[in-house]
Amino acid sequence: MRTMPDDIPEIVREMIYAREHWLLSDEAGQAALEVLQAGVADEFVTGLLRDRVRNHRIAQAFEGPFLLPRLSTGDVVRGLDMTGKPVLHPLQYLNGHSLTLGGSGSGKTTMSRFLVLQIASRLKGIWLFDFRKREFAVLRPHLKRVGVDLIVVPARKLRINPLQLPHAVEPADWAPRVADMLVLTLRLPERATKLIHLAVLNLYREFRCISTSRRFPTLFDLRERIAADKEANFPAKQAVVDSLDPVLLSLGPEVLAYRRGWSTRELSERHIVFELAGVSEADKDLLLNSLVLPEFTSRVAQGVSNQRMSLFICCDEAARLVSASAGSAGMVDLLGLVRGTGIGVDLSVQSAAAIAPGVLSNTANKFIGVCGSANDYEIVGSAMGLTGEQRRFLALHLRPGLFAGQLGDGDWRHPFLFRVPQLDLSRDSVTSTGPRGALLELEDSSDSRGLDDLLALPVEPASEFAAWSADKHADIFENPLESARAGAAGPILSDAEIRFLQAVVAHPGQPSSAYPKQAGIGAQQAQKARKRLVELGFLREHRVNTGGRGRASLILEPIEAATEALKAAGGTGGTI
Amino acid sequence: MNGGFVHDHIIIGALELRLRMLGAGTRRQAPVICNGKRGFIDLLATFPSHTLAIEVELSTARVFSDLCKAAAAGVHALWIVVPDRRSALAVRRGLGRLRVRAERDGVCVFTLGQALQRLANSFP
Repeated sequence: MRTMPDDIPEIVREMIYAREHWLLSDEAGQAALEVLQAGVADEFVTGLLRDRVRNHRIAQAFEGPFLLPRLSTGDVVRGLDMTGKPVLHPLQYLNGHSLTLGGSGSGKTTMSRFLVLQIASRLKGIWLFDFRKREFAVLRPHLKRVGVDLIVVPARKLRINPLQLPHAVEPADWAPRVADMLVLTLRLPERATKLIHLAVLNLYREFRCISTSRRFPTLFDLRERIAADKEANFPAKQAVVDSLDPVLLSLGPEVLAYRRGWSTRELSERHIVFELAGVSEADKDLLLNSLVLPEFTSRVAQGVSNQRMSLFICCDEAARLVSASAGSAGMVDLLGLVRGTGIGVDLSVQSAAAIAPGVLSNTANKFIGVCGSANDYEIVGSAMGLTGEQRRFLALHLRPGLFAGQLGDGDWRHPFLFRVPQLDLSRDSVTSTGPRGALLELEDSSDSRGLDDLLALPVEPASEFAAWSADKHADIFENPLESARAGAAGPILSDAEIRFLQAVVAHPGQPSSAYPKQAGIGAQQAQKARKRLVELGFLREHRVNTGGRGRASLILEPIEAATEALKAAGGTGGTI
Repeated sequence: MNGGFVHDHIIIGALELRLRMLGAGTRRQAPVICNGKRGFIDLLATFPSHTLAIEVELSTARVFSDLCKAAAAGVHALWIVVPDRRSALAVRRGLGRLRVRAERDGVCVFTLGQALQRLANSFP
């Protein structure tokens, strides 16, 4: 705040104050300003000016060293200022990415949820990543009320192929990107980039891939190709194999063995919560990059620029992703790349200590809540251009739900204080109201968290990797029965799957719940077996209301291939 | 038999078995002349004083044809049996568009479970 000489008249001081704080920006204010500048102001005009200045000074007294936000237009309510007025900004401001810093319990997640509840129905797609906890699934019944079907996908239910070409991207363009991505996420040596790049290019050539193809090589193909390459640089080859094996084993063929997995183009038109809490950090990095990078690259390849936001990506507890030390350079680079491609990224972290400088530079909107360390206020305060007084104020006065923020777009870009209202997201708040609530409850319990929609997306499993093991093939087939199976043309089935198939062929048309007992296997094992047998084309599922009430039964129909395969296996089911 | 697995084995199979247990005579694909053309009723059940036509539908496409066949066969009641509630709702709507007042005109739309329950209620 600049100091003024003492001999300036009171009315002029107030006029300067009013202009500095945008108190005369409306039509009446502009008219009053003109009259004052012309020196013909009467008591009414000076009164108008004095009233505004006095009211503002009183309100400002509660804001400490921060200005009252001049953010009264837009379609997104960021929160309430200290006088209780809503702080608004246009939805498109989120296109510039946001970073929220706050300790545990500061209200970061509440702020993200509050934002998502407002914008979900206005966007084609939202991807919410839960890296540590399960925070976003609770929004599902609430968004259902506004017609948004929020799909909750656990990490192990994903069906993706990181080598699948994104829409409009050529193999020659995607191969180096995917090589870089794998090197960064798996923390491989630099030399491995070239090895992977070359292997991926060769695989694309063998599979005759173009962006509209339906069959792509998988990470399993890549691993086998590199492991079998005798001329490759040995340390690089060993590093790739050693790093890929745990990921392939951990996520397994259920997630990664698809010639054609879910396309990010299709996913970007849905509202999805990706629950990655149950997998390792390397798996999280790989899954995140496999989802986000293709979509970003596809948009860049299509020449999408400066378009309206259509996809909002929110990463809760994203510390590892934005850290300068971890293998997160990919994400940091992406943040810079995708500004203006219609994707808004919102990251929230607990501490600023390890945030990469690139993240601070590439997030236009920054918010800070209660932090555990004064150092955090200094780092983010410096990035936000806060004065020393403002930083001290934050360290002493912030409390849960109260944030200091700064927007990177618009005319008014001063830091400001705002409160995020508390949200009651208990199920009671949705389902306690009459028949509609009961219907919502019924719908919510009857489907599998909206997953059916995603599971219906076209995929092509790479069945040859269904029983993939990191060991050499010679080791896998130690059992003569297994060797016999591998010699056959078809896929390898486990004993449980064969017994399940035998039960279905012997007693077709029964509800799926009847078969575990007949097959002599557990319910969970039977469920896995059923899904795989359906994917392999041995069984077909039909939903039929066989009872008077309740959910429709899943009736299983054995397809001819199953009967033939069992016959070929000599009645025991053995080789399929 | 010209239906699929659900049509022939699951729905008609279950209903035929239950009707036989109740002492009804059953005939699958019973021929009938309707509007000068030959048609077939999926399952025709004959009780001593009552004839029941059962048509299994997986969509609303042939509902009108079902009504014609049932009328031509002179049955007392027509049951349209569908695999799930959603289909049942769609068929009921289809009947509404044809100005058919379901229960009063002797036309019932059931899922398999409801049809079996109705049989159990009617012939305990």
